[in-house]
Amino acid sequence: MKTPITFISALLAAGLAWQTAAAAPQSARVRVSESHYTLANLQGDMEAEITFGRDVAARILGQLKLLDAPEVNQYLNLVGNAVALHGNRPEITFRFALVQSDTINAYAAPGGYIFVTTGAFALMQDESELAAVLAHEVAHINQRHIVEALHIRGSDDAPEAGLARLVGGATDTARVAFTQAVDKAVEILFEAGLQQADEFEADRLGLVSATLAGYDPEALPRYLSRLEKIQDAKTAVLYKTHPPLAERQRAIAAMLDNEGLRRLPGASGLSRFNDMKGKLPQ
Amino acid sequence: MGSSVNNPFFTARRLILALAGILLLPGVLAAAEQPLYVQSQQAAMLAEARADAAVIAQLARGDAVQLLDSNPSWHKVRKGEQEGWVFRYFLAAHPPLQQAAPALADDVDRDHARRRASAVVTAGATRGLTQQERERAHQQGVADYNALTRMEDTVVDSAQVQLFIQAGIPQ
Repeated sequence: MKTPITFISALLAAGLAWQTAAAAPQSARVRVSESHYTLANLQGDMEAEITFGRDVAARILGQLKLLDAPEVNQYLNLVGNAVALHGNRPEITFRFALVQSDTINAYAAPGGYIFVTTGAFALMQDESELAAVLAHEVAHINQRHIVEALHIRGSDDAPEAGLARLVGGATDTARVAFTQAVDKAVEILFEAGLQQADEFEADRLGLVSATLAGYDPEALPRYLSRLEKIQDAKTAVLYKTHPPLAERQRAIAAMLDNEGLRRLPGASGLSRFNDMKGKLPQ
Repeated sequence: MGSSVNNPFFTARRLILALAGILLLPGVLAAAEQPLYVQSQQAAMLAEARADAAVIAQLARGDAVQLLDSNPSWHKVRKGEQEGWVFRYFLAAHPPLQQAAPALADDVDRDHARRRASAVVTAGATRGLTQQERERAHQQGVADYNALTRMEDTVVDSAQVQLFIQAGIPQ
């Protein structure tokens, strides 16, 4: 009976593997199909992400001063939320703001906090380019790129669960780990950058969101083309933290063609963008 | 020659087949029945896996669809009698979650920014950093919770966003 027993063991292993694979989520980030993980768990993870993101956002604002221009910031929130409707995280309240810096960049903290420098805003020529940049940052948050990059593991090996454990922890150890995670997130944003694959993904998903929101699909490559011509201190951090622009442009061009985005009609939003530029503090 | 019913080989084979049925069937059913849910405000179901393909139907947030096929950017899904392609970005394996806002104190005097910022620091300290850690970071200029509060005060609701879209973005 040795052979049947071995076969049964193999069958057991194969069967369990098949069940695991069949029950597995579409991505490692979606775990609700696993029996022990519930919607309440996901809701708790998301709230932990917001708590964490607030402290990261406060640190960003410690380095880059919030621009005192309520009407322009309101406008950013309207454009940003218009593109965020075409994403996968309706549970997030997205908040957008201009921060004072001549450098050309944008930053996304977990939980929905997005910042655009006045340098980047000055380089944009219409609303569709602003929408493209905001959609790229929304995609970083939607795909939890920072949370993933922190490599915090929870009981089920998922980074969001690990973050929830840190946020919920009442011990000094948990608070120290939480502080270190905030430090690491800020370092990723200003120094180390995300993985290149995450930047390409944000380009790809941002392009989908902005285009399907009704904006010109050529806006992002147009903005990046203008950016390519600036090789000085204003773009040093962006080049350090992002893939080479030529590679991004090639991937974007392929995406526009392969996914049928290039031929879709799109608005530029030029006139109301120019109105807002005129309302910036001098 | 004995009956196959009493043959140990056939008994083992029956056991194997029974185990195979028990083990494989739930997996097959789970793979076939696991629904996906629309997360975006709306999602076009298209005739081909291209954004410029003919629209078969418009799905709304929360709609459940059955997964039929996938490629790196698209899922082929079924809803009722209709089948088509939807961007993967717009779908998830769970229903849309409830929106959550950051914890803010209820007893905040909104006319006094300094007091309000202090209350936000306090309210946020219910988890994560302690109140003292946040206040220290704020006082040292490492973090700016006043600015964060002003940022969070700039709120647009969904009706404003819809009006903004209708006014300037063709759908």
